[in-house]
Amino acid sequence: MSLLEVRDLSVHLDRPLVSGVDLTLERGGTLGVVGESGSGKSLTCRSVLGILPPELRTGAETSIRFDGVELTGLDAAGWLPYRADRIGAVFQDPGSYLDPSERVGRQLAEVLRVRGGLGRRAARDRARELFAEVGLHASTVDQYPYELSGGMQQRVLIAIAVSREPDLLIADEATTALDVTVQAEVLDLLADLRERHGLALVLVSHDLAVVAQVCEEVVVMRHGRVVERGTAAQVLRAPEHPYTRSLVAAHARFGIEHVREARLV
Amino acid sequence: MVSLGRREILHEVDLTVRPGEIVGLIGETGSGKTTLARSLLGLNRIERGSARVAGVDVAGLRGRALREFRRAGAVQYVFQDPLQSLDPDLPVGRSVGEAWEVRGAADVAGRVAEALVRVGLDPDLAARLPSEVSGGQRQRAAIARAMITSPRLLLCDEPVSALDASSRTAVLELLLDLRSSVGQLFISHDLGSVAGVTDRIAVLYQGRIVEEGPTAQVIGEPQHPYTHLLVGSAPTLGGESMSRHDRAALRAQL
Repeated sequence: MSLLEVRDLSVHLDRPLVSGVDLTLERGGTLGVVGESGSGKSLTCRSVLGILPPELRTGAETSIRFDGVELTGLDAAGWLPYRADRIGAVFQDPGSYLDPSERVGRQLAEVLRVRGGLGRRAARDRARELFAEVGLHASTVDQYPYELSGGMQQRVLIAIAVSREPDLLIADEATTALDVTVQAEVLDLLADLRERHGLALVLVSHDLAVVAQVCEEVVVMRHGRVVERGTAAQVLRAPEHPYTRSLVAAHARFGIEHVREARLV
Repeated sequence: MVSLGRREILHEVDLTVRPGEIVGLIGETGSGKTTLARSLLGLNRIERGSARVAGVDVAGLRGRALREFRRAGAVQYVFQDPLQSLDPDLPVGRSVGEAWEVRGAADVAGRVAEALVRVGLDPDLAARLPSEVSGGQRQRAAIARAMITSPRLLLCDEPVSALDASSRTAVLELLLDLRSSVGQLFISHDLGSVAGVTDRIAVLYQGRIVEEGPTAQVIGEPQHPYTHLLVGSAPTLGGESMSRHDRAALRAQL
């Protein structure tokens, strides 16, 4: 049984925004979802997390099975054991997911107390351990979000997301707003966490190359549909859909590959 | 040297952009790249040194002379967000043609149409509001607005960072196409994304240029550890360009 099986996902407003999306992710696996704004990649993630905006609904035919349990149709109480506890998520703009008036260590400790049932002291100690695990100095627990760089804020959110030891982490454009060297650090961290905890990872990005760093399987979305899927190596070396081909061609023309290849000739 | 308040932001920066050349200025958050670009427009005071643009030393300009220099449009700025230069309440054509309108030029509408065609846009776009056109079209309109004063230098500050893949390619092709008309300083945090458009690259780190040279040389044989880390951090389609271990070792050297 796969960890995550999405079958025939559709999301509707007055018209379909996402149609016919199938995704499969094994326990401990990595899946990259590539697409530009409006491709439906974020709505797909939000469907899996059960956090679609209220005006949107998934289609009657949609099935989202997580560890064998059907998630569509769950009510708020039904979601509790899944969202955050077994399916964690981080998003593009870390600043807007942190309380600006609370020290970041307390924000993590609160999750551990409320969701994990830890006592005050145990939660504080565990928060320090988790901060160390995501590469933050222990003294960071006493800092406020505004004192941290974007990369550090994202590490705090990753610590919070993995604190409940989820089976699946969804990173939706989680490195997009970061400098490239910081992006590389955060991608390295996600790869480390995956190895250490057997975490399955869905990495969503507009950049095919970012996904290629971390993921074994890739789906490419456009206009609400999956237009290409395969292993990362297949999709990058022999892209079939014209859109995927244009993404690969753009890298070859303007990216660092351009210079590398020119030097080889 | 450029300082803001009492803190020195840029130190001993030497940089040349020749006509017909695109020079990449690569730096991350806080490196001073935007401060440098603003200094070339006289928006930040240059304390020491000179910045000559088309024969005029911007560092020596004050007050009215500086305003006149800016109004003449020898240096133009292309922002990451085109709405920094297009008025959201005005039709695109009005923003593009503003400099001509202000000077009372004849046949502004005709010239705007020409300017739009030059950047690959349908002249009918002139009548639409910025919110009614795509992000890529907005950025091209912003470039059209920058080009109407026949600038000698275009400061492109992360011009494609906010764009989708398809519009990104179109805007990069446009900048390459404009290269013969105007020298460009292409500012970005991502060395990988500008490799294919720049003739030379300068790497700015903590307010200093730590490396400068032809693009192929800087990427192929980076000398400074920071440049090496930038190259090793740039995502490529070939998968990891450098191992996690090697990146960590380079970070330790900085």
